[in-house]
This record gives sequence, C-alpha cells and structure tokens, in this order.
Amino acid sequence: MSAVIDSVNTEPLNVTDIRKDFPILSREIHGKPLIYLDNAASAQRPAAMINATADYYGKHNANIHRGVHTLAEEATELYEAARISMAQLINAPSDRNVVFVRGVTEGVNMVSQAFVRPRVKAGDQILITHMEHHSNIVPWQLLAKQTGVELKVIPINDRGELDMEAFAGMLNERVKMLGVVHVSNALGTINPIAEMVRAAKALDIPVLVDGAQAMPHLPVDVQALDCDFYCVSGHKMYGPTGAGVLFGKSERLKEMEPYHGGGEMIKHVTFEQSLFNEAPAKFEAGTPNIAGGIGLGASARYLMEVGMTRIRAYESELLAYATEAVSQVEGLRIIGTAANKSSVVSFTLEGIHPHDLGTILDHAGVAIRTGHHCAMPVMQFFEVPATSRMSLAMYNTREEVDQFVMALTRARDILS
Amino acid sequence: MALQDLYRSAVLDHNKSPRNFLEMEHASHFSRGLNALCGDDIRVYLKVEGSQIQQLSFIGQASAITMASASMMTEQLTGVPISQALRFSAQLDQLLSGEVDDSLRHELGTLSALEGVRQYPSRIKAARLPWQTMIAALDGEAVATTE
Repeated sequence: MSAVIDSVNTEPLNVTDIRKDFPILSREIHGKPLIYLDNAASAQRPAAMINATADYYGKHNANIHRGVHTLAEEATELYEAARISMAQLINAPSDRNVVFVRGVTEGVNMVSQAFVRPRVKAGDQILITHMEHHSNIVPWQLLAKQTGVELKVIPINDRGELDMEAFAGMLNERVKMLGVVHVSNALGTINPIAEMVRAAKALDIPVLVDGAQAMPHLPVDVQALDCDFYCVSGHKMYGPTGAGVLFGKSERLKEMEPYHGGGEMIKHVTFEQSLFNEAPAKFEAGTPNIAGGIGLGASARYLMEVGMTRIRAYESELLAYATEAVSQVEGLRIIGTAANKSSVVSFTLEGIHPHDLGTILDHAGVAIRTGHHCAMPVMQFFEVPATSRMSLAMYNTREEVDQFVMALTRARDILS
Repeated sequence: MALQDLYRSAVLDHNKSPRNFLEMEHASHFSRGLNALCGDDIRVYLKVEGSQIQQLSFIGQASAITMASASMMTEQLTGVPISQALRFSAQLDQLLSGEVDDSLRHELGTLSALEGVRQYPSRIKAARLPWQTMIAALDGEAVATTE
C-alpha cells in the first residue's frame, strides 16, 4: 500500500501564487474585486483544468475506446490518464477501481441500486447520519420504497458531531450498508471515517463515503480509510461539473451489477443475452463526459502538485482566523462547531434573513451560499430555516475574510 | 444597480415593523407559503365575507423582501373585493417583471416600493410568495410553494 501522492514541496502554501492559477479571481462584481466564499457549492477552476478541456476539444476531439484512428487513440489515452490521476489522488490500488460518474449523486444512486438493492430484503437496515446531504439520503429512501429496507439515522450533538456511542449501538446484523459523509457541507464537520469503517467491518457491513467536501480540502487515502466505496464530485475539487468518480474495492465492483446498460459496458451482445465487460467499463455505458473526465484528471494533477497536506495546513489556519473574526460580529451564531472541522463556517445573524445577507454581500463582491444547503435535516436539527455559509478554498485570504466581516457589519447597518 | 433601490425605506420599514403580523383566530381562509430554497416560510390568514376580504394577517420567517411584500399586502387588501385583490396581484407581477409606468406605480401605491426587486431575478419569487399564498388560501389550498 503506497501512500497518497503529495507534493514534493513542503514549503507553506503561497496563496499569491495559487491565486494566479485561477483566472476568474481577477473578476470584479458590482465594481468590487470578487471574493469567492461559496466553494462548498462549487469551487473555481485553475487554468490547468480549463486548458486541458479546451485542448481536448481543440486538438484531440474524438470518441474513446472505439476508433483506431489517431484522434480516437489520443482521446482514449487522455481519458485513461485522467482515471490514473484520480486513482493516484485518492490512493486507489489501481485505476480499475475508479469508475467515472457524473458526481457523488450518481455514485450513491449507482451503489444503492446496483450493489445494495439485489442484496436486501424488507426489514434490513441502511445506516446514514443526520448530517448527510440530500444526495446521500434520497437514494436510500427510494431503495426503502422499493425493497422495504429501513433507513436508520445516526444522531448528532449540538456541536454537529456524530454521536459515536449511538452509532455503536445501531450496528447489528440487519444493517446492510453504512452511508456516511466524510465532511459535512452544511457544518464542516470531519467525520471519523476510519474508525466507523472498522466498527462496520466487524459485522461485514459495507461502507460508502460521500467525499464531495473532503476531496478539495483533505488528503484522502481510500486504502487507509478501508471503505468499500468513496464518491467524489469533480466541480467541488476545482474540476468540471458533471464529472466525478466512484471508487470501489475490486471485489465490490465485481459483485456489483451494471447500473446503466448500453455500449462500452459489454463484451458481447446478442438478442438473447449480453456478456458484460469488467469494471470500470461495466459501469460506464455510452459515450461518457470525455472532456469532463480529462478536465478532472488535470484538476487531480494540479492538486497533487500543490499538495493536499499543504492545502489542509493553509486552510486550517484560515478557518481558525475566519472563525475568530466572525465570532466578533454581534448577534452571529455559528452552526457547526465540531472539534475537527474543514473549511466551512455556517451561521445565522440575528434579525437578518440569509437571503438578504446574500444579496447585500453580493454588492460588496462577496459570494456566499444562503439557504438549506441541500441538508434540510441539519437545518431542522438546529431549528433554523436556513443559514448563511462561507466556505473557504486554498485561494482565499485573510484580507478576504476581513472584507467579508466588514460586509456583514454593513448588512446589519442596512437592515436593522 | 444600487442596493438602496432594492431596500427602499418603505421596504425596510415594513420588514422592521411588519403590519398585521399575527395569527388570526377564526380565519375563514388560510394557507402556508414556502420557498424552501430560501428558507422563507409564512402563513397568511384571511377573513372573507361574501366576495370581500375583511381582514388579513400573516406570520412567519422570511427575507426582508417577503416580509415587506406580505406586510404591504395585508394593508392593501383590507376591505377590498376579491376581484380587486387578484387585480393587485397581477399588477404586482407586472411591477416585478413587466412594463412599468407611472399609472401602474400610482395604482399600486405603497406596493410600488417593491419595484427595485425586478433587478434581482433571484428575489422576485420572494416578493411574489405572500400573494401566491393569499391566492392559495382563497382557492382552499393548504400550501403554496414557489418551486
């Protein structure tokens, strides 16, 4: 088991240099420099990714795995190189463990329908947590409707951390799957995945991890985590929309049935029956999002070049600074105060509705997310209809945080 | 696009001190308005006699735009025939996304303070929500949503 590929550079991250890699950061919004603090919704893209996509369309455009002409071979090579890059980024044992999907949502739906569904009966249980994104709730509810499995929810505490004691008590032979988010998009909580996988494995319970918010911020090592499935969305990790990966352990991918049927995923087809291809092709019917996959590979290489350890170190300091800065704002309540957090600060501001805040901040050039963050059960737990969320990325700075806090104060002046 | 145009003084005033902001006992009509995406959640109550709206009130948590629109609506529609209420609603639509002239502004009175919302397409739903909820209540629908 090799370690995660990290940058050879161990110097602290130089944010000025990083910012130069992202063309959009030179934009102005309402006459003010863009301060992009909505990274958990979708991150910005480095020139390396944008260029890789343009290069494919401009120089190598063809379908993959089909033709024998030069362009087809070049396109196939680029696409498969992207798969290898993603495998390296998450330290998958092989690129054969990496299935291209549209994103986490498709990954979870695929596992739910193609892996879990054939293995469950009424009365079996699926475990998820109270802090899941809707993408790791709704697919299981569909499954419950189809099969009669019960959805059980691991509770959270007031800080937005999982109740690990309750979790231990919920493990039993009827549980056929554990689905858990690595980093909560609404709270920033980093969950103890390795510990949860160990507990689940003792009862042979497969584990699926939603890595959408973890991948851009933490070194992710699927072998160290030992999870069965790990889902990644490209656009959260500075890559294209509509491109992501589903990591699966080899034996799991072998056991899993095809999800979509069509071209590419077969070895041989007659009208009587079809012989399916092996993973990952088995799960990749039809012409895929080729440019998206190639762009994703470029983003993965960019992240490895910068180095996930350095990114994590820089962002941790920035998060601490931001947390301290917003805590000074009168009437501000931070939602999600876990001991182990990633780059998210969700909050409410007394007397000011998040959507008004979003509009006023936009006029200061500041982009944040307001609303329920596709995690309505989290909102229900904290008894708030919506929150405002600043989510940081490696290109954000302390000065931007200061500007953000000033804009908060201005919003208060306008609305109260 | 200036912020002051969206948050005009009348809008800020109605948001800060919403009129008829209470649960109505013995309402003849009631509905709940939800804009799940924004986290707006209001309840609109009406007392209707014959074809006339005698009284309106609302409660809930919502953005300043929704609050102001709801508060202004309760003032505008008190003692007004249902047909006129529907006409005001259509005129508000026009203010938010159609042709606007001085006669429209004049007819809408205080409500014309919502004109600045038209420059913020993502907020138009917020201004519409109380009115959709009022119509849903009249139609006997329990919930109105903006989606």
